Amino acid sequence: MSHAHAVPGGIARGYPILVIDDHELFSTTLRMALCGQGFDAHQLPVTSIAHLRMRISKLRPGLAVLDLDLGQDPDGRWMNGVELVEVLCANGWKVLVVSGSVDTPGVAAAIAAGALGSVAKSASFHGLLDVVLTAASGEQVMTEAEHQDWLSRHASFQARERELSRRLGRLSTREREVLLLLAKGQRAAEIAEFFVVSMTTVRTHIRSMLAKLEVNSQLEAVALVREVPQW
Amino acid sequence: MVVTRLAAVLEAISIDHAALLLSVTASAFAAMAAILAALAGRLTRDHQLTWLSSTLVFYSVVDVPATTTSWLAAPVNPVVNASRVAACAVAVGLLCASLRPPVKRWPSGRWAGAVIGLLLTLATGWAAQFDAETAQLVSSSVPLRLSLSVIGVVAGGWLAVLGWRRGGTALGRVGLGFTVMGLAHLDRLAADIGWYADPGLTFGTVRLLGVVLVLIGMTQLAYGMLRAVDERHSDHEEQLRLAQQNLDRFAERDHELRNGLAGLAGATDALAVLPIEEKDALRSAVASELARLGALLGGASLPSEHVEAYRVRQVLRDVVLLWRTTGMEIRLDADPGLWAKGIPDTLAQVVTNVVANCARHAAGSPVRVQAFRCGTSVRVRISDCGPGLGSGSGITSENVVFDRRVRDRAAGGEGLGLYICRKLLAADGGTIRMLPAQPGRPGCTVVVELPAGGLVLRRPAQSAVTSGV
Repeated sequence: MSHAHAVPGGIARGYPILVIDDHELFSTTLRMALCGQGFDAHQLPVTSIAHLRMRISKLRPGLAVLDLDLGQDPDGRWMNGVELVEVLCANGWKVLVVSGSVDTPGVAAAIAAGALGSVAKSASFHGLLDVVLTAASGEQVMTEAEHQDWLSRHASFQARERELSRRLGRLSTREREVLLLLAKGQRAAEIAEFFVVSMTTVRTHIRSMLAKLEVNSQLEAVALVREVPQW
Repeated sequence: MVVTRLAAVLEAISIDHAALLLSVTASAFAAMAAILAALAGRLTRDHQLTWLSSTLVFYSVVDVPATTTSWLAAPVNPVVNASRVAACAVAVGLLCASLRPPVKRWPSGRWAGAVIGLLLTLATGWAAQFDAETAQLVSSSVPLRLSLSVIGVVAGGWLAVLGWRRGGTALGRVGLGFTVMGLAHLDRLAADIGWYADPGLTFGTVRLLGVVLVLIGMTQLAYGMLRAVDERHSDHEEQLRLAQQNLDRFAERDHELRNGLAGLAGATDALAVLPIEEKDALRSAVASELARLGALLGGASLPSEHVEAYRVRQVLRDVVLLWRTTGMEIRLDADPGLWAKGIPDTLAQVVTNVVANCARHAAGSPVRVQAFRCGTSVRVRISDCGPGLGSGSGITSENVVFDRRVRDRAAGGEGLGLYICRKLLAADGGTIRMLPAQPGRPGCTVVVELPAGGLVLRRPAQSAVTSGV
């Protein structure tokens, strides 16, 4: 076929590549393109982390192309691809992470957990395919310096997250609830109605919450919540 | 009464020291009240408070020192006396001005009143030295001092009434304070004329009382306004946060849409080189992507511009022929005069998905596709002679198969085909269901219902609707 490129690095045909992404169009196109290149490419439907772990342990290891944002599982929890990186590596897989958004902390965590490197979903499809082919051929997708850079970034992200968790830990139960509602985009008046308290009380909660979080505005407080995903 | 009680105090401490202490305290309290009034006036852009602040500053810095000097240090010095009377006149003038602030003439004259008053006082004092006799005569003129005090009392009372009318006790208290201060001066005048034996501490005490009242009122005002400002601030902050959260949401959606477009572009590339059975998978993926993008844009399905009537048989024939080339035993029974309303591709996609399911779950079984009219709808039946639903698949209900990700683990598939079918059909006003298995009839039967269409239907243009009136 005229579209098939020579497989770089002289990889044997039938090398297993697994695409794990809840974004069906992306995984289908990527799988087809890889099959077109002569790889034994498969998609793994995303259901739950536990199910994915089980499936992974039963497959012949190769290269896994893993999305970091796997959507919600049937119970409505957000599935984080980082959790799978260690399992995959432990089972002998090489892992290349695909990040849909600008999820730098997530990518750093995945690389620290043993991923080869990352590629942005927003990159051109051909560019993405090239990176996947490079990874499949066993070549480095990033230099040692870049790797070290990611590791130090991961360390600083973790330090930041610890610091933020410490601050969030100071909040009382009610302040925590108020903050979560603010982060969901609720108005103070709605929160007052929800908890059947006066506006003054809610304002007091917000003020003391801001003081405990060491921020100056609701905007910063909400941004802080987003920085600590598991909170 | 007051005087007799004070007599005991007078014996204990030096009257001059006590009077000085009262004056200094009054001056300090007036200065504090002035700062609070300036703050509250600035926060609410209330010119009345700004002018009151100006009055209090003048009173604290010029009036109290002048009165105290003339009272304790130089009771007969014409320069001091002239300055004192001028200061009192300016203070009363400023108080009257603050009853109806001359905003138009002095829109930004916050301190101009106090400064001009100070200059006026100094000029009077300076002029007094040239004609000491006249100065002394004017400054000790009873009608002048009386009228100044009375104007001060009336202006204070007016301010109190204004405050109470506006519904706030705070401004009322301020007005009351000014009234008491005016009364203090009246009291001193009475003593000077000779009604009291000793003018001493009564004047200083009553004046301090008035100043304290003003200070309390101003504190209340400033506190209330700070609270209002705080509330407004948190309201603004909330609006800012909501706006930012909306922006974030839009940015996320933009990002998702861009990803979706990139995916669709990749799929178009892939279409050119794919074998037929892969094309179907891709088509399903594209359909689900379109549904996802539609859902992102507020759940609205993509605008279907191609609402038209089409021949059902033609569409079904194409699909059946395609499957026949893969070696499947598939038969079509359809009335050639059957028309349905909607998008022909939807029907093609749905039937393809259902037949693909037959091929997967009932491999080797013959498949039958029938189409017939049933009331206002067209019914398409697809049946096979396979194991049907429920035997070992773990799926028991005929309805759950149309949910996302429901599938037979043993036979494979992604559990999306039938789910997509239902979504696509719903956009056209159609339905899909699976008939329950019957003992006499093995296999699985899926029934698709579409709105029937006998003629070409187009949405009426907006102008045509409105011009029909």
